[in-house]
Amino acid sequence: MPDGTMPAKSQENNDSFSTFFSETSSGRYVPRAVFVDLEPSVIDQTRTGAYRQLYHPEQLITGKEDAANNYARGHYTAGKEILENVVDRIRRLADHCSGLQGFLIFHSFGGGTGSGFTSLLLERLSAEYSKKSKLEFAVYPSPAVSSSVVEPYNSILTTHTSMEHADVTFLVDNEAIYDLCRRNLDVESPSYVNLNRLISQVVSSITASLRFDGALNVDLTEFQTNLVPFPRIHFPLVNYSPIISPPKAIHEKMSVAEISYACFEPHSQMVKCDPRRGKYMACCMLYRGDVVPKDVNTAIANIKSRSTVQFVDWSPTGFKVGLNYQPPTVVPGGDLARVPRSLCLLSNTTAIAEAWQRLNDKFDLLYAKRAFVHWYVGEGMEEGEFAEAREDLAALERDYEEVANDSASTGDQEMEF
Amino acid sequence: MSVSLFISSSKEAMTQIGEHRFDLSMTIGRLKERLELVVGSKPSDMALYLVPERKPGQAADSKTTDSVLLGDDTRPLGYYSPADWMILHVVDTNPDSLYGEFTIPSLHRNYEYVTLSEEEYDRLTGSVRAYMKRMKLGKYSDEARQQQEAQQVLEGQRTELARGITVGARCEVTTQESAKQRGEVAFVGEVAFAPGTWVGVKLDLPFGKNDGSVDGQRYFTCLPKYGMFVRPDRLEVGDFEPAFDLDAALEGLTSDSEDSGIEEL
Repeated sequence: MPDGTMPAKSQENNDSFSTFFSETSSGRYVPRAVFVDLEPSVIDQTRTGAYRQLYHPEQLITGKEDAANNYARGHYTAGKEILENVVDRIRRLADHCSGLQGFLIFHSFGGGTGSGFTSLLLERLSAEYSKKSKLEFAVYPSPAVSSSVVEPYNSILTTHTSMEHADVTFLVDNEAIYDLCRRNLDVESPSYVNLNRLISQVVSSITASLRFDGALNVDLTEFQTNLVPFPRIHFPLVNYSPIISPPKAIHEKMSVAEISYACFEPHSQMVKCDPRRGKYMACCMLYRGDVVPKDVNTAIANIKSRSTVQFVDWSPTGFKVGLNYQPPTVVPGGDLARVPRSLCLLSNTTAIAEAWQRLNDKFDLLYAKRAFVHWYVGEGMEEGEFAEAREDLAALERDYEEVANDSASTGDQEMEF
Repeated sequence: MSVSLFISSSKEAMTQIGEHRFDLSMTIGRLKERLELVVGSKPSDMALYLVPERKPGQAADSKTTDSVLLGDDTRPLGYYSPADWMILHVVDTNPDSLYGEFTIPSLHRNYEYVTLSEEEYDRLTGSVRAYMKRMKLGKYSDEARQQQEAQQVLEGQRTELARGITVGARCEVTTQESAKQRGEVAFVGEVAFAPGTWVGVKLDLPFGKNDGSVDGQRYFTCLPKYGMFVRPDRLEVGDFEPAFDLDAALEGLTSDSEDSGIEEL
C-alpha cells in the first residue's frame, strides 16, 4: 500500500521486501532510499503525492536553489552544502541493513544535480564504503528529450569523475526509451512518467535476483563479475523484452524462444548502438516468470548460431543465465502489458563505445568555442577539468578498441592459399 | 507550487527540448537566466511564449493564436497561469545569436575531435591496456608472449629455408590434407594476402587453389586450379618426376583425334 503497510491477504507472502524496505516496529515498510535534489519542486510532488506516507521526511532531501543545469554548481557550490546531510542519512540507512551489499545510484548525465552532485556523492561513498559495490543507473542524454544545451559537458564531466568509483553503470538512453514508448507501447508523446515506468521495469528485472530466491537464481554480484572484465569497461548494454502494450499482448504468444530472439534485436535496446559492429565480452540473461531451462538452452543455441553475435577471442563465450520464477509485475495503469515471462539481457559490448563517441563529438563542438565555460568557472571549477575529462573519455574510446582488437594474432590461421 | 513545461526554441533544430519544472513564484527575468544553459540563448535575447495546447507532431509556434507572451520580466511565472505540459517557447530575438551552432555537430565540422595517439595511450597507467599488461591478460599473457616468440623463431627459419628455394625448381608440397603434390616453384617472396615469406607453386595436377593470383594480385601465371601458395617449410625441393596429368592427357587425346578427323576428311 502507498503508506507502507502490507495488505492483509499477502501476509504469507515472501520476504522479498526486506531487500529494499526495512520494517518498522509498527509493521510498516520503509524504502531503504534517499531522494536528493538541489531544488525542492520535483521532490515536493512526492512529499504531497500518493506515496507521501511511505517515506520518512528526512529521506527526502532538497536544497533551496537548483543546480541550473550546471555540473559545477552540483559538484562544487550548491552540492557541497547538501552533501553532509545526504551522507549522514545514507549512513543511518546503511546501519539498519543486516548485510549491506552495496548501493544503487539513479541519476541523469545531463542535469546539474544528476551530473555534479552524484559524482560528488560517489567519491564520498567510495571513500566510506570502498568494499561495497556501487551500481549506477544513468540517464544518457538525447536530442529528442534533451534537458539543456550543456548536457555534453555535464555528461563527460560526471563520467570522468565517477569512472573509478562506480563498479557498474547501466546507461539508459532517453532517445532509445522515447522511441520504445512510441513504437512498442503506442504512447504518442511520451513524458518522463512513461519513460520512467519503462526504466523501472528494467531495474526490477535486474534487481529481481537480489529480492527473490530460487534454485537457478544467480545473484547480481555474480553477474557483475562476469560483466566487467576490466574496471573501466563497466557500461553494459541493457536489453529487455517483451516491451508490449496491453492491446497488442493479446495477439502475441511470447514464448521463451520469441522473447529471447526479440531481446537481441535493436528495438529492445536501452541505448542506441549497433552490437553487430562490436564484439561481446559477456552476455548475462536474466529470465523471469514461467521459464524452463530446456527452452532457454534451445534459445541460446539459436542465438549462438547467429553470426551477428560475436564474442572477443578471450571470452569464454559466456552466456550466463539466471532464472527467477517470479513473473514480472506491472504498475497499475502503466503502459506495459502483464506478461507471463520476460528477459533482461545485460551485455558488455564494444559497440556501446558509439554512445561515447556521440557525446564526445558534441562536447568538442561546444568546447572548441569555449561556449558557456564561464558558467562553470564561475562556480569554482578549474577550466583544466574540461580537457582532463575529455581526454579520459578519449582514453575510454581507446580502451574499447584495445578490447575489440584483443585477438592473439599469432599462429598460422591459413596454411595455404 | 510548481509547473512542468515542455521547452522549445525558435533556433533549435529540435522543436522540443524536454520537460522542466519551474516554481510559479520565479520571475520571468529569473526564468530567462535559468533558461540560458537550457536553450543556449542570452536572457536579453529571449522572448518567452506560453503555448497552451500541444498538438502532436506540430511544431510549437509563437504565431499560434492562443500563445501568450510572457512580456514582463518582473512578474512571477504564476501570473501567466501556466498549466502542466504546456509549451514554453523561447524565441531568440538576436539574429546574430550563435547558439544554434552548439547543438548539431554534423553541420559544423570546423572543430577537432579529441583523440589519443597510440603513444599517448600507451603511456597511460590506468588504461585497459596498462591493466591487461599488468595482469598479463589476452595478448599480453605469458602464453601469448611465448607463442609470439615461438612464432618469430619459426618465421626466421622459414625465411632461411626460402633462401634455398629458387624459381623453376621441381618440388613436392605437403598440403593441408597431408597429401603430396608435385610441381614447379613459380614464386618466392612476400605477398599481400598474408604476412611472412611464401612460395608459389605451379602444380602438375589441378589440385591447387588459384591461377597464380590471390585477391586480384598476380604473382605468377598458370591455369586455374594449378596454382598454390604454401609456407617454405611445407615444401621440399628435389628432382621429383612430373606427375601424370590424366585430364590434360585426355584433353590432348580428344583434340588430337578431332584434328586428325578433320585432316582425314
